[in-house]
Amino acid sequence: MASSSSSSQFVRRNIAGSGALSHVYIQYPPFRFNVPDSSRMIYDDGSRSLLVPSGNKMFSWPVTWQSHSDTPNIIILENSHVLTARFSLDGKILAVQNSDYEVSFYNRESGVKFKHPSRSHTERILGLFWTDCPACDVIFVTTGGLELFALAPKLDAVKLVDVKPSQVSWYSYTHESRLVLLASGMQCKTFLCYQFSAGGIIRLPKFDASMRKVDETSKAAALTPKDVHIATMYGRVYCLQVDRLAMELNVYRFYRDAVVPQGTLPIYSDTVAFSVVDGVLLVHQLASKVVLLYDIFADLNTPISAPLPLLIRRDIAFTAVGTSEDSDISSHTESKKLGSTESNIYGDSWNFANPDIILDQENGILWKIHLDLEALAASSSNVPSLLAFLQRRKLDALLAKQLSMTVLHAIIIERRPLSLISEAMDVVNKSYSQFLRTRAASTITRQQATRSQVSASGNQPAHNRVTVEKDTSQSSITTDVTPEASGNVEKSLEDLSLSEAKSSSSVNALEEGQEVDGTVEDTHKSMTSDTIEISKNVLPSIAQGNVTVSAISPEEMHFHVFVLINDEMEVEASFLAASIIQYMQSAVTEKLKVPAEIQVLLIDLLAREKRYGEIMHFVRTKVVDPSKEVAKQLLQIGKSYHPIFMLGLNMLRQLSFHGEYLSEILQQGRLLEALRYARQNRVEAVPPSTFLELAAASHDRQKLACVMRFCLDFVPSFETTSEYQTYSAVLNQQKLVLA
Amino acid sequence: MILVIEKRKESGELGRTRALQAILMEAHGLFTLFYGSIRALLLNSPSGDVARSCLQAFLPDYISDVMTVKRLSMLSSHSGLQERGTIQMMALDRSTALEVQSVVDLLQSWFGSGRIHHTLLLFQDLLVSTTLPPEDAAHLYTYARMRLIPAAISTSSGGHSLKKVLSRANSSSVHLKASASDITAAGQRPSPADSSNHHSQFFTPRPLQHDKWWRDNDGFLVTDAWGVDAQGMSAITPTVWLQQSSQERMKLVAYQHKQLTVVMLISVMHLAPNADGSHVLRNQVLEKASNKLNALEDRLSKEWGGINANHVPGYRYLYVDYDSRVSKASPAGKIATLTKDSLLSLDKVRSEIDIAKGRCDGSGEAQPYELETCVRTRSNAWVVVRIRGNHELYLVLERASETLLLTAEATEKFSRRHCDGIFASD
Repeated sequence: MASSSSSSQFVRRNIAGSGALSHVYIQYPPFRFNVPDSSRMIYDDGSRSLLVPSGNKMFSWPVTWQSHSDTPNIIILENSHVLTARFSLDGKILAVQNSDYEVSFYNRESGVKFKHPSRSHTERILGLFWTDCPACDVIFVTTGGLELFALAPKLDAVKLVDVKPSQVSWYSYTHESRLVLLASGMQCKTFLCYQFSAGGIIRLPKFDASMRKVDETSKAAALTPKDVHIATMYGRVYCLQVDRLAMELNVYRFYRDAVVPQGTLPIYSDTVAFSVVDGVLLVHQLASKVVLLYDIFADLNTPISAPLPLLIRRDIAFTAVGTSEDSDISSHTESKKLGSTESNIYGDSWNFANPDIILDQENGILWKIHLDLEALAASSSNVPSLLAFLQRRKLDALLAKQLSMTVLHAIIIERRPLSLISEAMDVVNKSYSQFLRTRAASTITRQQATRSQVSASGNQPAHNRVTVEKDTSQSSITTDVTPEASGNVEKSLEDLSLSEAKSSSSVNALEEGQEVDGTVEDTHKSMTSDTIEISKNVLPSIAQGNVTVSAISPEEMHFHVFVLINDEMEVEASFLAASIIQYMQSAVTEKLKVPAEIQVLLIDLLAREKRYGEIMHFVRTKVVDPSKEVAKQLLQIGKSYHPIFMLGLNMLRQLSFHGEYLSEILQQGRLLEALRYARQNRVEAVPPSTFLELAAASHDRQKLACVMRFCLDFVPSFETTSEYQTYSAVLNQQKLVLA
Repeated sequence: MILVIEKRKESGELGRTRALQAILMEAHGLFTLFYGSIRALLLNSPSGDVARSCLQAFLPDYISDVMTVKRLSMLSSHSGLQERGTIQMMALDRSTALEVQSVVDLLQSWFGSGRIHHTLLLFQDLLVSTTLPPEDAAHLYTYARMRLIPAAISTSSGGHSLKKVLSRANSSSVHLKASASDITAAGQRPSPADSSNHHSQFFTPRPLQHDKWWRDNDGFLVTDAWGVDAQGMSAITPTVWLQQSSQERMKLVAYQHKQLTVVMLISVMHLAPNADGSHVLRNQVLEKASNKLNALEDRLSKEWGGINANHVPGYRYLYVDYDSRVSKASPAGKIATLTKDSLLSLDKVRSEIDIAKGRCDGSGEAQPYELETCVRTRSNAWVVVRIRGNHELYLVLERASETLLLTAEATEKFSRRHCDGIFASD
């Protein structure tokens, strides 16, 4: 996907980053609204919008991070009492819970309003959420269990479809995981989970949160919704549960028919909050105001970074955080307000919404959390695991890719041990071959999707407010393909990830790659929207081609790492050559094609140190693939070492580059052999005049006569050409001279 | 050098001149490998003592190797499809070749840049990879094949106590004494071993003596052919001279795991005086590289096609690439199935060609020598020779009914499949 044009625009990243004051930041300016009399903000993760009730109006903004000054959508409410509210997944209907017993629906397009009272007055409604599950559209969570409703065809009423009774104290739901967790029991430590996905409804086995008994007398407090968090990381669904007494965080992973504990992490603060940014788990230690980062694919027991505070980043130019404000910003009227919010980091009014949103209820501000990849890269000393981490980035894939290449560049320049370089190359190539595999799988999926699209397009959820053209096809895959896969539920211990389509179309796709599959619409969408934003500034050419990924193709490896190092001349040729060998070796084990340019560079490096024997060995054992480029390079080098010249010549012949071969042997003056070759291989590209000229120039009468004879015999109607006239004259003249 | 051979009536012929010359070339190559060039020896000690003692030490050992019961073993009748002094390569898959190269690079990188200058990897008696230029590679390969490969090293491994080493060294060196200062002058600088031996007697190394190499418990090959140190505690690390690459003296360290032999050359120049780098190297190889090397051995032994790996059914062939000094031939067992008549014819054709080639070399023509010959022998076999510059192909086809056209076609096919089409006639 890399084009040579992109190389000119390639901006090399400096790992120095932002001085490693933080690894996580929130970008100034935040999303801010001005609604009089607003009391609180609601973030609806299903429709990705911010809802602010005020009086009898409901203001809503799509949260896209592209245009912050969007004018809000306003819906007039009948009842100004709002407990919670959520838009339907297509954004048409707003459901507002007015009280414990009543929910109102507002159709934004038709203006139809209707109410739905609770079934019985014994069961309070705890909350509600919309779903893309085929069986129902909206689900109420009540103290008596789940109530599943479907919308009437005219969208003017809801009809009860099913009830899943169970005792519920409180619940937790994230749209990203489509998973609802119902807590029950005295200590609220018995959890029952359902997943309502496009693939159908899955009921997961009940499980108990593990609470370590510190001593017999102390009574563990009941778990609250704040203690439990559903996190979606790399498409896998996890449950994080805080054990306050033991100061531990228990991690569970959901499978289709099991919930498996994954271990525990220590926590260092009474109150913690969680965010997931691009698959990385952020544990905010609220009391100590620092954040710890964990990567489930790395070692879960050790955070990937030192505990550092969350910082506000003030400008786009990636300069160090904490510098004095720019003049234009300070002139901004909001800057004063920000001063108060700044000191408010991890303040009481902060709400952490799934997955990476912070709502500052007091100041009416919405922040989005970002990873500072540069700082992370700068602070990491373990190169292979850093590269693996960078290669897993989807959100800021372009930056991750650039950073990865910078790291690779640096380890070669710094002459780090070759074994380390070899490991690093393995990481890079594995990730690229995985990307290729998942892309291949997703093309198949896409083809299937387009076939069935016509029939399924009716109930396609319209999340496409993110306005990325190519995204429409991606999200539709989910709706179209997943029904096919719903039959595969019987697989035991299958990942309860979001990509149900995986079982049918991309079984071999590993977990990491699933998002590229286009099946996880939410993460995917945010990824595309973000990368588009960046690429507008940096690299428009890549964005047009495909979804930007962090995987580094062999071509990019060549242009942005090897060629750069070669040009800088800071490393001796032998070390770079050894690094390239390591790269090629790992590429071949991953069955990647090594572009001819890299091989040409390798030969060039070896030739610089006059290691001709090795070049010959490489060509003989096909370590260096035969190609036109390689052959030309061999011919070039062969000028100073003849056997290599012969090798290049033979390679040209083997690959049937007749024209090039002929011109080479003609240069050597092997005229008759060239004629033979031209006749044997029916080469017509070289005109007879070339041969004749050469023969005449040799002043060898016999040779010229030979060529003339050849032309007369094999070139049709040669006698009529002007060349025949010219050269028979020359021949006669030479005869005369001789006589 | 002059080689005197007794003409034996029963065999009736002497063998090709070139084949005999090849023996001399090989002897010379090995001699320079061990002692440096004779010219350098003479320059350093004009009296010729050193050179003479070296030759005295070397030639009997070499000749004893070449001769079997008063007869040159190389002059058996099927020598026509063998070429002395060339390297037999192991056929490798592309990914295996890359793996080998990667391991070799890692091996060289682990010990600081420039410490290991060159490596030579052998699997059984086949060369897997080398970083040496062809000439030096061929000499070292010849030596490794003669003395270092698993089939050649002393089987009585482990039984060698240091005491035994010492006694051996003393007894073998009595008649080969030379003054220590002379030998030191021959080298570019005194090796640690030389200086430590300064006051004791010195002996000229005899690398070709039989049963002088054995395998230590840690997988390294040891020899006392280069003597023992002053205390008689350990054998001196062998040193060799490279001619083509750097004219430099190198310490030779060899490691063996099952069928895999790794010969590492460390520049003497890069070693601190009085420090035998090989001990450090040995520890590091054991620590870091042995896993990789063992894995590589596994992979190579899986890929090895057996002793008949190079056999091409229907053909008995020899392909020599004099550029990289590599040859590929039918396995000896298969050559033996040819009739004596065909082999004699081949020998005759080859000696004719040798003469023609010699004439061509003398004329100093720039064009590469090219030749195509098909000869029908008395026993209705075909002897085919094709020469393209420094690449030569000899084929013997024993299919009586074949016409010249079919033979040419068969040759063409062979060239395409097994020689990268070098010998195509067009």
